[in-house]
Amino acid sequence: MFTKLLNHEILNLLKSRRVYLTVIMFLLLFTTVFVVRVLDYQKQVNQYIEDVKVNDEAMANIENYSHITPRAIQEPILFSIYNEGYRIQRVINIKFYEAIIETTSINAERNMLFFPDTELDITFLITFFLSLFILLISYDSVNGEKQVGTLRLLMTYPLKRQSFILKKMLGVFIFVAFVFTMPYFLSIISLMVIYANLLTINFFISAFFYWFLTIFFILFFSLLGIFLSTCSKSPNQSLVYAILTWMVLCIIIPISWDYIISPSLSNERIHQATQNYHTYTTQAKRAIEHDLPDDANLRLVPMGIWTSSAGIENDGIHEMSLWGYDETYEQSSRFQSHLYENYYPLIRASEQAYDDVYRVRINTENMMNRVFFFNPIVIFHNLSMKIAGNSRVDHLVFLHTARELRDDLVNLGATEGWLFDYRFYAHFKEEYNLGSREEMLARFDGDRELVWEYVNDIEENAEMYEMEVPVFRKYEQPHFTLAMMIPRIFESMVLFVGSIVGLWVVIWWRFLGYDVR
Amino acid sequence: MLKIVELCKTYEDGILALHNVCIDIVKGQIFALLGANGAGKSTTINIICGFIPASDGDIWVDDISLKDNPRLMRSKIAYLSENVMLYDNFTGYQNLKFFADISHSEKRKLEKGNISENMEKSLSQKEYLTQILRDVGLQDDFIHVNISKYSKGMRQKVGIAIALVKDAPLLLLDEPFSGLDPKAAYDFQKLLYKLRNEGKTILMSTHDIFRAKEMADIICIMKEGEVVMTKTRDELESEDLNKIYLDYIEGRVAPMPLNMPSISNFVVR
Repeated sequence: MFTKLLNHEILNLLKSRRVYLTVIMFLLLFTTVFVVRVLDYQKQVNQYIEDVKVNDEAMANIENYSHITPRAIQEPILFSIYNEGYRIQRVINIKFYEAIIETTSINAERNMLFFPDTELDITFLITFFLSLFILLISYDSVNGEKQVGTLRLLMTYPLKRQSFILKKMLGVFIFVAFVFTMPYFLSIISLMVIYANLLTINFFISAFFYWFLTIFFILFFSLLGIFLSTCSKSPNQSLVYAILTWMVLCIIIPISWDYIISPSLSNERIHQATQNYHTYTTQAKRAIEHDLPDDANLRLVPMGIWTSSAGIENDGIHEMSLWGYDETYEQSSRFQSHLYENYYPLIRASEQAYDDVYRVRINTENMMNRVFFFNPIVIFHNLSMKIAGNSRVDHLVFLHTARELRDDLVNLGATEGWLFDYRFYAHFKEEYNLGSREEMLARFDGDRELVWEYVNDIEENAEMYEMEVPVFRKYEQPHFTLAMMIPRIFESMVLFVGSIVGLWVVIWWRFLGYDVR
Repeated sequence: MLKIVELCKTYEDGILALHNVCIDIVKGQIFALLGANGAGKSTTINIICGFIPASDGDIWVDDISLKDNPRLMRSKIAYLSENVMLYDNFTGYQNLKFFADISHSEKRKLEKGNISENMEKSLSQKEYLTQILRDVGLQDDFIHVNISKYSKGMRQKVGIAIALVKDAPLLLLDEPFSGLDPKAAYDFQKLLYKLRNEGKTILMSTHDIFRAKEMADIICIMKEGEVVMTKTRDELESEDLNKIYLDYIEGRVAPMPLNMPSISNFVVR
């Protein structure tokens, strides 16, 4: 009996012209977006492969300790149709004594699907319109039938009112869920065909969770539409309610939060944390520019490799600067010690301060998720970020992992002593030792061009170095498992399901006393 | 067949819509409710159909009480409103099939499978439903055409077919003749006679005094939520119903006492 009602409802939806147009729009929108997404994912995967290759090559050709610049490269975790914000730049260069506060990109092309400033993403637009579409399908589901009169006729049958309202809800829900699910799975299948070897089980777990989440989203808005339909006498009235509700949930609340409420809540704290950050970076800058020991040559070290240091004298003329082994090593060693003792702690402190700014933002976001727990858009946004691994927290974890790698490397150097050792400074084997600057110039009759050539030849010949690259920990991307995913989303999911159940109870209760005349 | 006892309805805003309405209809009768707008005709029908709850009193259809078993009672009634309400996206046949499906499966559930499927046994459901649509006078060409293309008369026919398929002993008709052209109204009237002869009981509310007098076995006039007159066709045979109606409505005649002959033998349970 209920199946008959439900079949009828879905058939009725399918036959209505308005729904017919909506379905076409849905399909076009989803298909376009998914095609774009699939292409984007492919691009990301290609980019990742390219980045890894570049990194591997660089690591294979390490010539000395000071050349070690490993990278933390994030793999595109998820083919998420939601926010791709942090996925554009997902490479961190791990350098000694450099504050790790942001991701960079090696091979990235500009991602046209996401505008970082506004967080306006093509997939955000789907959510935006998906909610509107669902409301437009369901806003007259009850009072429309009341207006036509079929509701009255149905109520003269020994039908339970619960059955009627349940079929309404399920009808809209199944219909929209199907329209969403079809392109979603088609796009996943197309990915499986094209990139079968790249898709891991994690990908499918995340894709499944994302689908699951969107299904809840659809359920929420179907119920909301039906609720509005039971709140007003005529479909016109409920249409106005539906549009107003949509505007409040999707436009007014997020915008007023972003531009009014959130700044007033967190601006002061962000300001304070930013001040701290600037204080530490200024101190760090001083430490490296002004507080250097007199006999440590700043210019020398950042150039990285001993022989290639081409200095710029005060008069602006390029001049080859070459030092002999002892002189260079001593200067380098003093400089490294200075960095390790003075500059490195400040860098870490400025990273902490940067994290504090970030944490204030995360806290404000969390507060928003709790304050607007009734807003499906907010819950959906929060949950999909968590599932996609794109949240600020995830970004911070990524930065932390990269910093841990950097610290490991620095500590390794300090413990083993090579940080303050000539080896860190790319010492050549004895037979290639160049001697002092004057000796080099004398050897080539003062011809700087010849000296430069000679030095370059030596530099490119790895066999001439007297060192072994230390064994260090490499970056490993934490991969989501089911066991990791569930606790991440548990709280918000409970909130989401709870609000859906609550809404359902309210509709149930309202419809039992609904005037069907 | 239908017994309404001391039915009262007060709306939430305090308006008294019905006051001690008592009606008794015997099986196979056509009963007409007359009255001005707001007299309580539609409220009475709405309460019988279960659209709104009664404030007091009860209704029995075939000895089944609205209070005790509203769902079973609803299976005993078929309702046809002034503007027949159907799903515009479906054809006449599909509309009929939908309502046939829900009424049959509900009945099966309520009566635990003891429903007699007399006609359906010999005919397939499709033939059976098509035959019913033909019986009510819908042209074959229109059976599989969307309802949105139907005239009011044709919708009325599908509506009555839906009521017939429900196989309920009591038909409730709310202003069934309003808006019908004379030919359609005549056809509809013939159909109602046929149904009465088949043993259906019909309760209709109407403004149409002449048709009421012509068709109804009992006529009841309501005013301000109360029954002010109930007379049989024989009692009205030589009287001018139009005049009586106006006399009652304009208050020139006092309401008839409640213990009128037609319900005097009624036993309140």
